Amino acid sequence: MKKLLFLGPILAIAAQAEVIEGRIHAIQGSIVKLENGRVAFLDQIQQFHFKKSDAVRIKIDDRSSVITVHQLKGFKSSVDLMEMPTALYLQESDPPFEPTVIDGLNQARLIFDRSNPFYKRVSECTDRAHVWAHDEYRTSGSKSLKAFVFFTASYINSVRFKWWFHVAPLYKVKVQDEVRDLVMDLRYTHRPMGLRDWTDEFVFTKRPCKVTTKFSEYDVNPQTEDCYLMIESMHYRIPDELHQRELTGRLRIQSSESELRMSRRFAFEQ
Amino acid sequence: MKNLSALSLLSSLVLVSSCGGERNQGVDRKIPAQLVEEQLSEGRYRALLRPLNNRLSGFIPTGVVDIRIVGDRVEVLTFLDDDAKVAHRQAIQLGTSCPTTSDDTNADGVIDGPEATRVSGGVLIPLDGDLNSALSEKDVYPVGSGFTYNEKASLKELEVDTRVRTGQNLNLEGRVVLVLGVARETGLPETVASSESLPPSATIPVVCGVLKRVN
Repeated sequence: MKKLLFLGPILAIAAQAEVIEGRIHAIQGSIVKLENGRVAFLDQIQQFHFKKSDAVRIKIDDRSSVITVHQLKGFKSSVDLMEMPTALYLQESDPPFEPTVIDGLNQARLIFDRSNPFYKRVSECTDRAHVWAHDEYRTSGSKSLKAFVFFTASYINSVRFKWWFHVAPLYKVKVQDEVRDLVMDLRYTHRPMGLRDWTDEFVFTKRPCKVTTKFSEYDVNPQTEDCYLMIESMHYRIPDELHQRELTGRLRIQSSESELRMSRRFAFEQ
Repeated sequence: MKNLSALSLLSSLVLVSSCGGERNQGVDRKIPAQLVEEQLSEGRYRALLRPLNNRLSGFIPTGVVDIRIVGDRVEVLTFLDDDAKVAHRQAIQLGTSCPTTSDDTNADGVIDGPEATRVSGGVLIPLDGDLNSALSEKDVYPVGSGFTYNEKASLKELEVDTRVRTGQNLNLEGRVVLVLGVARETGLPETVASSESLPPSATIPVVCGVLKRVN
């Protein structure tokens, strides 16, 4: 008779130390932030000689503490491989991006349900969100936004959070007489979610995220908040693009095909 | 009528098994497979596993269940990204809905095993070390903060096994998949209940998804 109690041997799929790779976005105290969103903690090693923009391979334990670090030579991330034609940009004086208003919750649910479910186990939210948003644009012509949530160092430290940002497509949805913002985050939620419900999934303190239009407010602030929220057009893929916009005043008004192909290849089964 | 006949026969076999001593070691493999309603067709079924109770660990687990049926062959692939290095019991459930926070009926902040089962139903197929039979000795489950599970089975054997134990057909479309198990040292309220005789931490669901046919 099959035992009711779980006493038997278990499938020997032992947990391994994880290896993460990428360029360093920032080093804040004991936290190393990689451009791909991952976080590693410098609480188990004595010396860390690397700096912003260095490409590194970091072995971390199950608490995301750094075990070893090596510099990567010739590392090319999806950002490095991306072609960035200047035609994608306009000046701030140009007409703003106007998202489509989706007619009703049923339509919103359809968009959620037809999002590509064949993402890879190891894939980045930036690539998934980019493909989901643009696939929907091709399917229905609906233009969407992106919701970027940025987690502060104090929050990351308090819960040993493994990412410093997360992003998902956001749609304007008309429900009776009001227009709601609904996030379509197929990997983490069962349904389209309001912004606050969505951030609550990641911010366990349930503190609201401070809304900002400037990436620098998150990147250089004293980290008194738990999180920051930026709502941007579907054409912004990664935080660095938000930073560049702030520095140069150039707005992204479209996405390149090569960029989309790259995101699809990185994040989804072919 | 065919289905009723099949159910009747299988029910009597269960009774025989229950009372007969020797046969209670497992499924009677002599059940004519044609009497069991078959899985409708070949195909691929996929459930995206989304987090439940993730505030307990400070991590946001996700996973995928991918089931392919080709001829008599059923192949199940699951993966989970979690941070609890424990055994993760996983199963396809009889129900069709994942629990939500509103199913935390005692409002202790945790959707525990019994609360989840009330919504998602009992076990249809345990995704363990022997996919062919839930009654085998191989009730072994993947362990680790992240794992990949890959098992194969005979469709006919699985259908017979499922029907005998649950009285239900295998039909996968719309079924719920639950993966259980948080770290033993997780601070849990005393009100958190458990299924079977397991510690509560072993039966707390960490991800849930609903199987959909994808092609």
